[in-house]
Amino acid sequence: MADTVLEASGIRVSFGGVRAVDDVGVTVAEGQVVGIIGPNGSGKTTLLNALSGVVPATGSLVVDGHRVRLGGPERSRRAGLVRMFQQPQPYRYLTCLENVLVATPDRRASGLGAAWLARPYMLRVERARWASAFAALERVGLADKARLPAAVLTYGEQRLLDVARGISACPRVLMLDEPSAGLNDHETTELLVLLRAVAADGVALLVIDHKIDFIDALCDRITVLETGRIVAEGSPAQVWRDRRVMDAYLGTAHDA
Amino acid sequence: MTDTHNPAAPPDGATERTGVPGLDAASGRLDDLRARLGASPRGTVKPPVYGRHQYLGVLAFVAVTAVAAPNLITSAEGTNLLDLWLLYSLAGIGFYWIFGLGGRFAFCQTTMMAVGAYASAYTIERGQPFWLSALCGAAAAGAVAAVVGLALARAQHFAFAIGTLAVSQIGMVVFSRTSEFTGVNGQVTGLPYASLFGHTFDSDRGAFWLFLGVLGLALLLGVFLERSPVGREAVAARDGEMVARTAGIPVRRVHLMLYVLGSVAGGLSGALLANWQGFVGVDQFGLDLGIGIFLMVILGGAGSIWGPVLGAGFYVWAPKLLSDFKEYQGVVYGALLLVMIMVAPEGLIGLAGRARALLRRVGKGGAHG
Repeated sequence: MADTVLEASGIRVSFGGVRAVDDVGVTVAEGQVVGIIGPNGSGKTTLLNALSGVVPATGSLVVDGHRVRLGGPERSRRAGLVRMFQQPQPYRYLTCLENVLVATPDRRASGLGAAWLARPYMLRVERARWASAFAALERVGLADKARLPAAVLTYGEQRLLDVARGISACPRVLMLDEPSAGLNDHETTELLVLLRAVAADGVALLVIDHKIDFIDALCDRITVLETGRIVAEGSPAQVWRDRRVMDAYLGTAHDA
Repeated sequence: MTDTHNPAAPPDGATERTGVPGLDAASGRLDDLRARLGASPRGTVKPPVYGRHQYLGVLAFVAVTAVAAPNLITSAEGTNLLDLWLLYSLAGIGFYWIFGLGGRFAFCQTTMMAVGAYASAYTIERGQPFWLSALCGAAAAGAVAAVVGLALARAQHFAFAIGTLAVSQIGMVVFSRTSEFTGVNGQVTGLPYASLFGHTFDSDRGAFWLFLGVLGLALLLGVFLERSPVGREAVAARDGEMVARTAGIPVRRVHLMLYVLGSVAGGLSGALLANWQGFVGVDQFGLDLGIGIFLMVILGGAGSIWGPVLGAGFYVWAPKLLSDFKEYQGVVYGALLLVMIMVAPEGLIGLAGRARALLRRVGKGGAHG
């Protein structure tokens, strides 16, 4: 088994007395894809929010053997946790290339001093950043749109742009919140191949999704949440056999 | 063409982006239309390209203004307004950095001008040379902005606007008191003319060259800023704070930097104004000018550094051109503003961009027969 990259335990998030996430733990190894499923309101997104520091939370988060304090997006990002939001979040007034560049981990020459006093150096660094951002766009198939403003992309393309942003951030853990939402079958398959390739590069993936086929094909392990608690975890085959999963998750999903 | 190229467009996904489906659908359709027409998407900041034409633009602006303005405008009043235009443009560029690029509405830009004016007057009265006093004025405004900016670092949108409004109110009270710093009742008089390298700018025409040089420098620094990672991260921090933070952008530092930078430009503008007019009065920097600076940026266009320059021109010259209407001047001015906001919601600079796109299309159509 590969090295453990992310180890979260005892994660708790409360909103005004309501325990949205209650004592949840999740472990992801290098190159592993862990899926998180559960009915609406079971705390999946809140768990990702907690890990990425967007909401206040308690518990322990260890990334690559280092403890990370919860509650600070910058801290989680520095530790190598990169987050893709449920809704695509392109910057409409930036080009696709710039949208990807926003997430670059290379922060050399990014200040005012470099912009004013060391422009040749700044441009040299920028060119290197452009190259890697462009490579990320190529990987998701958006290379020909690099110079267009992100506002002109279709919904599916916006999702791919988010993935490109995630890849170019050189994450240790990439967290995706319903990446297949709004995609058609063909696009979903392409996304599946892409995400497997990302994992094969040694990135740990934490994926929330509602499409069972997609989750089944993508994930090595699955954690099932219900009302903020873990009700089952294991390999996809194990989880699908679990009686409680059928009741809690699939039942609810089909009733709706 | 774009539609056939992309058969995989989702049936409904594109219509629900921010939870207001009707609005988003209409907005999305408008964006598609604009993209097909070859126009840039609506909004405040065009996607920057690291091209050179922007630097040439600054150069051309300075050159054209240097040649045309003194030849076209010969009257004493006109020359006076010309100088005022350049100084207001400088303060407006500062506000553009804070509001246009940073997305934070600072009510206290005139307070920063006042800080710059008083600080520069204070140092020049103590025998310091002009250049040093002007720098002191700018630095003092920057220092005040740093303190205010740190105190309001967590304040969002309206809270920040209210906070800076409070700062400007405190400033008015402090400045109108009698003290060694603010003179008698906020009046400091008898300031010497600006002088640099032994040359004294003792006339409006002379000051014009100084102000044009300073404005040109500010524009150049502004263009440098926008064609750099700073510009990109400023837009990201403005348009999606949480995404920017999770992407590793130090959003609060970016906001603070733009606020201090914009205030320094305001402070410098105030310092130059003080030395040019020879006095500082607290009334000069009231809420009237504060709203005026906002007007300049909105009318000119908050999406481009050229917006405040155009807007300041309008602000300075419109009342003069409307003076024929005598007692109806205020009404006509108000109506004109209303019409401009309706015709050009992106400001005068947006109008220019639209005209350019139209010309390009007409040109293309002609070429194709």
